Amino acid sequence: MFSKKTVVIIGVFFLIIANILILSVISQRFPTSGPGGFTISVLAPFQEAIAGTSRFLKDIWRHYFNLVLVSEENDQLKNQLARAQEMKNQWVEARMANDRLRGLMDIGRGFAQELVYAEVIGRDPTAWFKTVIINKGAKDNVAAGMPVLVPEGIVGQVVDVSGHYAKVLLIVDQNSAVDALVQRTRARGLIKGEFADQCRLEFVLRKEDVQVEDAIVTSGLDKVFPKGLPIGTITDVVAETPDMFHTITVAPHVDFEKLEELLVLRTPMDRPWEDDE
Amino acid sequence: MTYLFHIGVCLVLVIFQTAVKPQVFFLAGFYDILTAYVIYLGLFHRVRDILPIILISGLAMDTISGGPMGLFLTTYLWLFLLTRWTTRLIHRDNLVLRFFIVGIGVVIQTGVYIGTTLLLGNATLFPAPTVDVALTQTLWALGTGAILVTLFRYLHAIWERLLNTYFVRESAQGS
Repeated sequence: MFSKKTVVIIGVFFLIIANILILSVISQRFPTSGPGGFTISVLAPFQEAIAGTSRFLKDIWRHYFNLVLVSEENDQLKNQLARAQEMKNQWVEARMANDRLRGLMDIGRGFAQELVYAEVIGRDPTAWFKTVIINKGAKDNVAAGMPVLVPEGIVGQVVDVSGHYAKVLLIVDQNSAVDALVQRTRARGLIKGEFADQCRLEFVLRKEDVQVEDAIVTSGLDKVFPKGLPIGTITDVVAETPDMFHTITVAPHVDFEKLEELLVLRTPMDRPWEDDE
Repeated sequence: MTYLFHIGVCLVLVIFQTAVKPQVFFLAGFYDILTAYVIYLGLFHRVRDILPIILISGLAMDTISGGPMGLFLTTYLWLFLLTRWTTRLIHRDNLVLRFFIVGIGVVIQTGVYIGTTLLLGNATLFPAPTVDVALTQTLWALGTGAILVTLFRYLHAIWERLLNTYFVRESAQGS
């Protein structure tokens, strides 16, 4: 009665209708607490494990790439930081050098004599003597006997000169002696170098009023240093001695361990105080 | 060529002591390294070979230092002669000698410095800082003297080996 093709089409149509009906009935009749819930509770741990592993692997992969990127970025930042620190260091050094040079210029204005700017390039090879080598010498008209200063006070005097270099005997050397005054009382004495970057003020009579914290300045009478330049401060006075002189210890204003730049008073001292008048 | 080596080492040591050592804070109390070198020369070299080196290094140090002229030269000469004399009594490779000799040298050198300063009337007798410095230097010398002497010997051996290799090769090529 029907052709074979018509039977197949009708059969497929009924199958689709039956399937839809079954699906709609089943979806209403099996809640998750029943067999569906059981299946889920059995499968879910595996799913969770696989999903977790997958996530873990994805995370590793993503973090690995992130780490590589972060590492590269870290390297770049480190380089930038190093450059910035280097620049900052240069800037700080330049600022400090500027301050020091400004100080040197300021004291330079106070003298009638010509000043030569010099840098310390070497120090005494032993701890027993206190000298420095500077980068100015006979070619710069630096000669033995010239005084050497920094803004804080006197440093020493030139004792040896070569073409481009000179040796400066610091006032803390035991061979150094500078004529000095106690600024407050005008008591006169001789500043001599002592070990450990200190000085002694010698030949100050016991009758003189000398106290701790008194400032010591050059007297100008040694014809080397101009009058009134700061030398240091008295740190100790021992009056109870059998000598006719005080035993006085002086801490110089200049930190000789940190000497970098200094000034040489070029013209030999010849009563400089008269130049000011 | 050996003179060249010794003069070169002396120059390096003087430059190190004047320009590098003052910048390194923990080396502030270090002794005069040339003392160790002079002792090394006394231990392992002949008098006639080394006297010019001692003269040059002594004069170089006298020129560059603030001490009285001739002080280093005198000290080095005495140290050198004392070391030579010591090697007549004790074998130069004796470990005890090697350990103590630089320390003793530094003590002698310190004695000469202090003596000279006192003779010139420029110092009070043994103030505390002087004793501190002398003690620190001696300890440094005891700690590093033997190492330095061995190092100098090793460097000289390398130099000799290089020279021999070079000159043997040169003469072989020449012939």
